[in-house]
Amino acid sequence: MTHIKRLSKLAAVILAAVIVGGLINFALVPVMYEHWAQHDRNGYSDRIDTLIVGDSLTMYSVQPSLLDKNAKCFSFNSATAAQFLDESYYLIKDFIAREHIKTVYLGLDYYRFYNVEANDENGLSDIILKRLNDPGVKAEYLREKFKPDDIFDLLFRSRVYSDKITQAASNVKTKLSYEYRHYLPLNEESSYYDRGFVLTYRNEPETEEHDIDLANLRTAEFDMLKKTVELCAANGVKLNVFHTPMKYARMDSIKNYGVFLNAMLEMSESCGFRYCDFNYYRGRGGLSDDTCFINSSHLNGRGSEIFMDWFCKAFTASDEECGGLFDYPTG
Amino acid sequence: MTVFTSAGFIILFVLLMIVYFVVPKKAQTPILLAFSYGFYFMVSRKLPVYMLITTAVTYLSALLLQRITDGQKTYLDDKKAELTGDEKKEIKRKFEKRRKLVLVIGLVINFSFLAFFKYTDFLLDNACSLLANLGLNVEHQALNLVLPLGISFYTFQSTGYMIDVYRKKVAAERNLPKLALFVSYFPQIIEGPIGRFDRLASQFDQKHSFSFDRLKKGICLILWGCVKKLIIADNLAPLVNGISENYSQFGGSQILIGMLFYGIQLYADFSGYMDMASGYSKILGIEIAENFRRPYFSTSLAEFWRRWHISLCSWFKDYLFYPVFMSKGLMKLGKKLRAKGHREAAKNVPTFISMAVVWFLTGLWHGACWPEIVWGFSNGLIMIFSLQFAKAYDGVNKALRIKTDSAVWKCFRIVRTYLLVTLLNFICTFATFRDSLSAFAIMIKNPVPAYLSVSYLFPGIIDRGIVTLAVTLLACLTLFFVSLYEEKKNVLLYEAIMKKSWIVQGLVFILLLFFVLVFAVGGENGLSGGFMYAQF
Repeated sequence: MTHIKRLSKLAAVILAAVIVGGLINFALVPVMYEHWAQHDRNGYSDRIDTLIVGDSLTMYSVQPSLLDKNAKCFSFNSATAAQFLDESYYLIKDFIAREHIKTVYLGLDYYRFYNVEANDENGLSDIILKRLNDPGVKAEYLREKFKPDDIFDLLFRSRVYSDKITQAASNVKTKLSYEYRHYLPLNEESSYYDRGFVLTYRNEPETEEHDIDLANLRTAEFDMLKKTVELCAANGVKLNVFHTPMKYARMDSIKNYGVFLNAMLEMSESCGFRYCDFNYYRGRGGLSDDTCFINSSHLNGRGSEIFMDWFCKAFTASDEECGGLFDYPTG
Repeated sequence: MTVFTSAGFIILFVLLMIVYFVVPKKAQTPILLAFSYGFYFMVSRKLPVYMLITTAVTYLSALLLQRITDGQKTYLDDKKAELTGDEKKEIKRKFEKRRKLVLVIGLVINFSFLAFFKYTDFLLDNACSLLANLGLNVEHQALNLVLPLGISFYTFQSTGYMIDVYRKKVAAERNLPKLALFVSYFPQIIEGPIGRFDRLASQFDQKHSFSFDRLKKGICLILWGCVKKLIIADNLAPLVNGISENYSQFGGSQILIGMLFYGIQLYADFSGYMDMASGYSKILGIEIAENFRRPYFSTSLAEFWRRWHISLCSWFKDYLFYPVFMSKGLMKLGKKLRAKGHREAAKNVPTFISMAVVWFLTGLWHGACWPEIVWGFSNGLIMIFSLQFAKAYDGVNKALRIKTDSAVWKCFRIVRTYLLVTLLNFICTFATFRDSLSAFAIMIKNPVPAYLSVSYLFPGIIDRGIVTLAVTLLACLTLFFVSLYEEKKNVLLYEAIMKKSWIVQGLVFILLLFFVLVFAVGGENGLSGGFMYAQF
């Protein structure tokens, strides 16, 4: 009898802890685009044949609805903020396993090739984990990335967002709203738009100093890119790789961008994929630094519309025609 | 993540618990021993070679000591009728000499590892400087030897046991796994406490069954240790480290705040570890020695050192202070002074010399550098002055009609002691003496804050956000009130909570758990550093 009483009390405390933990998670974990993106993906599951992956540069730039019209496909943008190349790899693998993928557009970010310690810190991401639908790929990703201490972050997401506790009330308000519960776009400055694309008309001056040198690139990223090429080739998927345009000021602040560009062009030739760096698009002047960017590197909605026109032209053109669209520096 | 809060360790500990409570009594010690060695390897990523040698030396020395002691007893018992008093004395002297020799060899071997790893560079540096002053330029490259994890703690623990066997306080342990566990017991291998054989090892003999009450107490202690370590100490670290490393970029008031918080950081870090170690050990049914007794409520420096790192201070008292104090030289000196009519001096001088030796070595234990030695020596000097002028202070208090038993006076003394400890910390917190003096000068020149803004007063922490700062200060206040409660009621708060209803216990558990989970340094805020005392 004593044991039953004791176990009941213990169960009550554990249950209370689970409820409290759930409530804290609900309040502290911010509203994330995954909520809509996963709902969209599952809804369109049998139709998706084109996948777009990359980091926030891609998330704010590639509009699936505009791509569909020109490329005659049904695309889904699964780019996420700060997505690493190996995370893109697992997403591609997951989409190949679950959907009927024919084409992949991989958006690169030069910064990932920058040889800096921050780029080594590529641990388990719960956002990527959430986006992986295939149990096999999920297990593979966990095998690769999981460290015992991740258990705290996975079980209790709030610990990652404790510094945003002041936003708890607004999180709760949004999560309880009709729009959120019914997967409708929120009336906010940056809002989930459609099939992974996030639309914003924000236009902020860049204040962050940027002084990087790409003379020595990270070899790990190229290895990962090769692995991605092999994955696509093995599954008969066409791979297209690109870099979104950035403000001139940002381009000027990067030393030896040409080293990165040449490495990518060489690799595209040797591995047989198309690489388009839209920083060198011939009509680049049409993209105003003043109105088309969120900051120095991210396009806003206005910029995205112009960019999508270039994007579709570049990737639907023949190799020869495509070459004529870009003005890459020689040497 | 600190080792005690890493998921890997927690999972392994749960597995240990299951196995430990299921196996028969005689298997519990070997299991704990295997876990302790595995833990050591997990934390240090090195094989515990030196710990094994220390264990072997300690084991053999103690057995030999015991054998000589037993041999002497048997011999004297056998020859009881045949020997005269003088012959018995002579035989005892011979046996004593042998015992001393064994003890000295054991101590030398054990301490030589510690000395080699910890003090070689320091000795070579100073020898070269000395030779350079004499006009001989000898160059040497720093060896930068990596100190084996916990070597100071297990060396002191082992040698304490050897001395206890020598003093016949405890019998030598013949069970090697038990002695090896005493040396390597995992909760105390990184930062202590320095356990005593009679108190710790005797618990290894008992059968430990699972106890729900102990589990509750243990978890409560671990969570409270996490609050201290992961929320207070780790969040204060950027403030304190920033100021100690770049003091010239800060104003006087910022240095003052940084130094006042340094004491709290050090206490929260070290005692947080102790709470976690005690908690894990308690769950297994083994009580480890108390190492802190709310030291910042001390009214004098001497009392502070009776309440801070208790196991180290009592080790020094038992194994260094008394042997020095009772040494032939000092006894003779005392007698001489008494013969010359200096009764007070006969009592005080040997005490003061012993204290000076102890505090010199305490400083040296804390670090192989002159600032640490000076810090230790300064502590000793202040206590010597306090003792010497105790009567004079009483006289002043009476003349000023100070009510020495009043709460206000007690508060004044507590604050004074804290400031004194902070002042002494100046000596060893900065890179060099010159830095310490410069930082102190900046603090004295501009003690008033230039701005009354949060970012000015709390540099470093504010970079982690206002929420982190607020939580850290809240945790500091909680620590203060918990300590105040414990000090006033003379009871540990977690013990008091365990006497309350299960609902109160559950609420406290949930509150602590989520406070730690949400606000502990980790995740995007960065990773928690190691324990500050783990470098010893």
